[in-house]
Amino acid sequence: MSTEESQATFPAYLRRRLLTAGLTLLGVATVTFALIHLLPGDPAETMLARAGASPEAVAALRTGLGLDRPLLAQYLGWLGNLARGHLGTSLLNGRPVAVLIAEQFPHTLALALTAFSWALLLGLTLGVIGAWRPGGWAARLATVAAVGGIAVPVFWSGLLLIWLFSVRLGWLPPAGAQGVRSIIMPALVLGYSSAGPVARLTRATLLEVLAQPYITAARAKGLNRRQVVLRHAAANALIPVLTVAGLQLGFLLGGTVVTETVFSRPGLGRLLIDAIIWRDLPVVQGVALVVAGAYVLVNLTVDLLAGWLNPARGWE
Amino acid sequence: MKPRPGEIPGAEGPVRDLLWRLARQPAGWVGLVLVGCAILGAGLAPWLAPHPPAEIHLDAQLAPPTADHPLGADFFGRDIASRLLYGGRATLAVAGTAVALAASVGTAIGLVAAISGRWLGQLWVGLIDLLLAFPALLLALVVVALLGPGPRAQAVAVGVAGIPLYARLTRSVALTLRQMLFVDAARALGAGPWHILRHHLLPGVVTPLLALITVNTGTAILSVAALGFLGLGSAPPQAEWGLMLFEGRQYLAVAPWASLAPGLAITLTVLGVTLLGDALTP
Repeated sequence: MSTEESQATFPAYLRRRLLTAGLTLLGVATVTFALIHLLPGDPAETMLARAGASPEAVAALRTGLGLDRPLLAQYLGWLGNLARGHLGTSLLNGRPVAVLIAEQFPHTLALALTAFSWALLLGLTLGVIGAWRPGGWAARLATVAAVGGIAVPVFWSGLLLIWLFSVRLGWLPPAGAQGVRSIIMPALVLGYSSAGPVARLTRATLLEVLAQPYITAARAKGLNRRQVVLRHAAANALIPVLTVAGLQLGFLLGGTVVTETVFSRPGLGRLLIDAIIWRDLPVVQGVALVVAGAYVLVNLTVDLLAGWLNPARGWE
Repeated sequence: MKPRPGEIPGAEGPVRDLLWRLARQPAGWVGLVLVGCAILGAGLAPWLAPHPPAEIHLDAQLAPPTADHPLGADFFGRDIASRLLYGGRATLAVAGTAVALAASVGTAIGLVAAISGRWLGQLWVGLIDLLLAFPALLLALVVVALLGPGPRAQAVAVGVAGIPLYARLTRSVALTLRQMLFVDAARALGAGPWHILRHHLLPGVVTPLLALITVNTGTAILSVAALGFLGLGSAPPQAEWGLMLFEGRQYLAVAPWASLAPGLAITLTVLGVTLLGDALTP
């Protein structure tokens, strides 16, 4: 008993979580390395097929990518390059992938964070309304709005907003990334799609917490519904919501791909789609690595935060 | 409330259990009707469509809705209502293939992981977690990058992105079931792992699996349409809901109906699947 008790401390938990996260990152790096070898046929030929390159160009690319070296040497070289921040060069324009990503990342991050704030605000509000008086018209409306967030595709709601606010009313720019006004519609659309899951989980956890005896006790003391829901219940309902919110931030990093296309915004999404169409695999590898890596780190942070907020859960 | 026969897992069969749940929820019926309409429309497209989906009417370019073109016409004067019906075929077929792929491979992996020993089991868990480390759409896009754009890549990509969900669910349910007394009893009677898997674990997994399949179908339709919209799925002049939105987007200012119809079709279908899934999930 004593050994198990002593292991369940925060430092031990932290060490274990960091180790898992480190292993996952190594796994992500391995999977992205493997991508080039999973290409059907000869990787160099497949990548250049679209451009109709000469055999000399294919041979040059094979040497350039180190595909003629032994697999283990390639793998260790890949890891070594990653450690030094080298992600290879684009086949399309010969520029370093790390630079291409660094140029586009701020646009995507700005969109993801703005959308995330909006998703949290909307999701929590809809969730609380949905749990306030279950069965009431406000609760029903909030639940429908939350399901809408899940069912309406970003690439359609985006077009509807462009049609209304850019084509009809002329209030907001339909495309680009100049100024604050250009981020409003993309963030609204992307955030709404993420608000649905947050709202549903908030509502479900709130309803569960509200059925606990201590809530009845608080009500019996004479506290009104507002005090009970917002002060007593919300604090405890927040922790599972935090976990799903973290997952949503990762989802947003992926969802920006579609949103950026709808609004013709620069960003990692555009970079990735163009790379896929042209089979520019080094860029695909780089973007996949960066986005998956960010996702792993976000989940790690959220786990640690949830553990810190709720020590009663234990460090297992 | 009276206890229902469905309370005991598998007592009345998983399908009957689900129908029981569905019958008691009006939202589930709405979902069923929406999904039914989508499937009927797609299945009966050749009989319902007023025009062939790729037929060009140069006199009707970007025409608003009329009696001849009930939902208007696109840039080539192709009938949007007809393309919508045929497009549903493409979108739903690709999404269905993707779900079938994800469910079969994912369930197999989950079951194998559950009956494997400690080390092998951990290895499988590590693999599942690794796939989950990639956001689903990113994983799908990476698969398209490998296979090259097209409907086949569209189906495989969305399917691969779904595999870890099924593997995780199946493994955890099967692990719980494995510790049940009836499994011990079977083992004591001399049943081998394969027999236990087939006759004792698989039946218990079916009900939660059906619920996940429903939820996953909604996501799959959205992902398939998203890939189509990104220009990575079916190629023109094919009709596919996502591709129709991609094409309609360019004429948003002059012909908003070209974007309205396919988007509404996707939304209503996914809404139907989601409502159905909610009604079926315990």
